[in-house]
Amino acid sequence: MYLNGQDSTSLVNDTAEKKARSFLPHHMKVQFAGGIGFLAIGAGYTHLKKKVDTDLYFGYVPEKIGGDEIFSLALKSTYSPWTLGKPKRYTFYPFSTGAFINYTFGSQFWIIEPDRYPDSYYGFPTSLRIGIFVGGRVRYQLKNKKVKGVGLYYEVGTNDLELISYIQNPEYLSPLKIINLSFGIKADF
Amino acid sequence: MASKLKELCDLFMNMPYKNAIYKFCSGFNVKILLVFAFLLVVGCDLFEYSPYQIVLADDEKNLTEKNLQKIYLQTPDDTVRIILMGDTQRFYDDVDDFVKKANTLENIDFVLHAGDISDFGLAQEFKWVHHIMRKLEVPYLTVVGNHDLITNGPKVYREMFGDFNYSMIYGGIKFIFVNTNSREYDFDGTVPDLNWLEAQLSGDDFDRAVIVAHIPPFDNDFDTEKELAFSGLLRNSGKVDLSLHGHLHSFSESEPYNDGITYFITTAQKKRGFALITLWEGGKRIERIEF
Repeated sequence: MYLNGQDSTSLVNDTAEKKARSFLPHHMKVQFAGGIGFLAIGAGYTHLKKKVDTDLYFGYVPEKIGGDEIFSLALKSTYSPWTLGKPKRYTFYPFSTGAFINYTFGSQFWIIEPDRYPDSYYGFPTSLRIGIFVGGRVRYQLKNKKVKGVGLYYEVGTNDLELISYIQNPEYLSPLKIINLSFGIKADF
Repeated sequence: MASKLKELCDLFMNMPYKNAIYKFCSGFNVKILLVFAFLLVVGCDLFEYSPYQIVLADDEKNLTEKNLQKIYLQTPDDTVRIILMGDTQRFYDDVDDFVKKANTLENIDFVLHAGDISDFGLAQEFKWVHHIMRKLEVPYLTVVGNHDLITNGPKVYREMFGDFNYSMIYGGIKFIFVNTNSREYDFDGTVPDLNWLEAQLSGDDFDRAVIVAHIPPFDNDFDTEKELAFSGLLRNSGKVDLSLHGHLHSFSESEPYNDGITYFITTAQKKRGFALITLWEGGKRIERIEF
């Protein structure tokens, strides 16, 4: 098999570009609330037949809004198994569900208990919280090569501590007392 | 980068759903919608920005001061009857039952919460406990517990309740609330604040004093280097005959320093118990009540 110089170079460039492109995030998101920031900006990949989004968010809560200035990182997966009808310009994903793990920065939080405590004094890492949610999404197909689509999503969720609290206190607490609402936008490339 | 951002913004601005949103809004009574949204946001804490956020309503702030004002308006008779409970932590159903039981008791002057209001120092936990405790027919006062001092707990406690160390004179008795959670400060010598305690005990505007602190001095979460100094201050004041605590999650009553001062520990709400304490001149009675 013969490849002339030009072809082989372009082939190499192509592969390199493809490789580089596959590391680029497939989409970006901006989320309001949902326990991961007043505003959280995220980027991630779509995988498993485009049914799962996995994103890393950086979240920020200003002191004026949240009572304390809070920075956090969240790793979140969202599974959207169905679309309503065939995807057209608008695609509706009526049901999504997923989970995230949220790391809160700050010296008052820990993963491993500080030395001042005997073993397993509190017994839980305060800087890590797990959240679960259900929601939905709509996507609008764009005629743009760089941004192929934009979408809106909403989620209703809770975190591990509030869920445990509800399970242990079904009389006083109710689902309404432990859930919270969030919204986000997504742009896919 | 800037031009790309602008491109993206333009794309959003030219979206057809802008019209859809406009139609949707004009179709409804927007005012009703806004009021409804406001109620959802304010009423149900609909949005959570972080589990560690501190977003409080006005009636969730400065509660120690507010409850002290209420207590000062009461006129004490020659017998002071108080409820001592504590360690509410994650046991809201039990706290709810406690309040129902407490409200059936008569002639209670106020309720003392011996600390560990919350479990993880979350504002949400403090709020849930307060929402239950505010159904009490009498005011309640708290002292800070070790669980209230983790994560953002210190900030939440200060904003919701107030100072970690404070006192009140009621019916001639000085109730002294003191932070004894030494381990949370890595036993750095600042907690408990013995200088403050000494000053509190040295006044002459009261003849009797009762200590309220989460961790009792003989527990190993209390700074052992300060244990004898603490109990010595109580004894040497000549005014303290009772020291009230929580933390250990079971009832106990003892005189560990053989100095006539009773150290009483109340049980946790999980164990569904509290103490009814009656104080009169020269005497006291402590009853353990289960619910």
